[in-house]
Amino acid sequence: MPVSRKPEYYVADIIRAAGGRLASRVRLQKLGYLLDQLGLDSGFRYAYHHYGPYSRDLDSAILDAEAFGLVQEDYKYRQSDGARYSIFQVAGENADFTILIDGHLQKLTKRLTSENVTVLELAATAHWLDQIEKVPDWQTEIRRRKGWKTEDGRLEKAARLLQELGLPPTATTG
Amino acid sequence: MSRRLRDPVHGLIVFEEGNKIDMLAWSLVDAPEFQRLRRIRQLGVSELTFPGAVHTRFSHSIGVFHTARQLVTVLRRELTRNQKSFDEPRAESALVAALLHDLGHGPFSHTFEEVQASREVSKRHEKWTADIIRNQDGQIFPILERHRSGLADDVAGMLEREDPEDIYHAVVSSSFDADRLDYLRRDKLMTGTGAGGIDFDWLIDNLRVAEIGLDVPDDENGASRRVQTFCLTAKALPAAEQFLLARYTLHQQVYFHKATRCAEQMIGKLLRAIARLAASGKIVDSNLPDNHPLARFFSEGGETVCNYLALDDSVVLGALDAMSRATEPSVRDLARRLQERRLYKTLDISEFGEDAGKQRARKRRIEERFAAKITDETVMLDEGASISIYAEIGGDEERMHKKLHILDGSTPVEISKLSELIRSLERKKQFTRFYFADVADRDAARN
Repeated sequence: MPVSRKPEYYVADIIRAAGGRLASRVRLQKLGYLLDQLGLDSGFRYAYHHYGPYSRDLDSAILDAEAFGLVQEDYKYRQSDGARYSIFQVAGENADFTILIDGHLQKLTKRLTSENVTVLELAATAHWLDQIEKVPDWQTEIRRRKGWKTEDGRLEKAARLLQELGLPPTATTG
Repeated sequence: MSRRLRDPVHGLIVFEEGNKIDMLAWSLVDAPEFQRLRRIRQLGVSELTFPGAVHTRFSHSIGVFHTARQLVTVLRRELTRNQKSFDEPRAESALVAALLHDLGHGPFSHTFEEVQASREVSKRHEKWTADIIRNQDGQIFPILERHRSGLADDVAGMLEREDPEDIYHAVVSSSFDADRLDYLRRDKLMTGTGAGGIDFDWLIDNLRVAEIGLDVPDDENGASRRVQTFCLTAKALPAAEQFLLARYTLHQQVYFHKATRCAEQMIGKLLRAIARLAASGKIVDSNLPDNHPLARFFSEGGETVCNYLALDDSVVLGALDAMSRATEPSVRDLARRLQERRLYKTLDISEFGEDAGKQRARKRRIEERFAAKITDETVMLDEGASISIYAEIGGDEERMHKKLHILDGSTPVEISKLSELIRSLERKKQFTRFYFADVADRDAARN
């Protein structure tokens, strides 16, 4: 496999495009999924898990990126209840992009990084339900599965995000 | 007349005659959809490694119902203590959901789910469970609806919802849900591993109800969505540590045992081959009849609830003899190997030392060297087993409501904030293994 297409470089480049630092494993996974729909072409395979589309290949690529010294993972803890989350940082901040050389994809990565992690989960799940599971009514199904997460305007926000990205189901129905 | 069952974990389990929910549960146990669980082993092929592990999802499900009754008693006590009302119908739904939670498992459970995922059929067992409960042509649905109109949908909804809605939901989905409290004790007993200690009575006695944050943590700020769940008092911290360690050890030594994982991969490969033959109209090459349950399910349009319910472990194991005379070579070879327990040979990359960089580099070399054989699956790469103290099979992170919370004063905090022991086991560790059909390839890969 060519050096530039090795899976760990996708991980390092996503984090680099995010600004060199990215919080939460869930966020990294949803970014990977959405960027793949937008042309990243990582070859990662996805399956549906608790937080929506998830790739074991991407998870393994994170391990590679850490083992080969491209990325460092540290833990932080939410103050109120001590809930742990991962902070990923690229090791050489000035290194060049090897995969995400497309400036458009870099911008999209930065844009997605700024989004709430639950909105990303809903956007990725809506796309998955419509395009992969092909459920007839993705809105009913996502409410059934995700419950409270779809409330307080989050589902509408996820729908607007998909529209902005030009991804189904919302981009096609306007 | 009351009904009684003897159980190796819980002793005598009684279904009281005067108790409507007990009698409802007993009638559900008699339904064919539930009896099918007698033919699905709780630990799938673990029996190849731990010969005692032949317990089924049938006995487990009854144990979960029994444990759920204990949790509902705790719940009633706690809500009374907090001067809150107790929602009887909602508690009933939780008890029924506990009993029926595994109805949707296919043969060899997670292995079958992986087979389906690899065929890009995304339907998890939770969804099958909900579909079986809502199936108006089945026997579960009318039993539930006779008890209370809308009960089937309440129960199905509770099982397919990914996050808990309230404290009743915590009976079937929390860090101390009835499923986990039964399977850890049952698997430990039946495998004979003696892994860790579970001080069940002390844990139950120290259960309290408190609100936790459900949002995925990604900064230092608090969670906006809060839900009531089971937490433990500080007095139970040592027992909680042991509980998590027992779970960790079971994953490390039993669920992710290399021989078990290897056999699961081989069954997965066999089922994928059958699925390919069925979908292309060549099931005859597997030496299975056209109307075999596997052929029916994997044929185009065959993934119905009825066809799914016809599948179980015994259907697959019973077909090995026929498949061992298949004309399709990989079906024939796999069936013979599984019959005789001649498993592929394992190489775990931890053999190359503790250094992660060295391990991953060697893994990459093996992938490149055996690329063609990995494609035709005579060499199989297994990256699906990862553990941390909150281990689960796959997924981004352990779910917030599945993390164990201890009351620090009156505030629930994640156990790792209070326990150095637990904190030291937080980092995710992946078991990365190759399984080789040819032992010579395995030996070559080591060099």
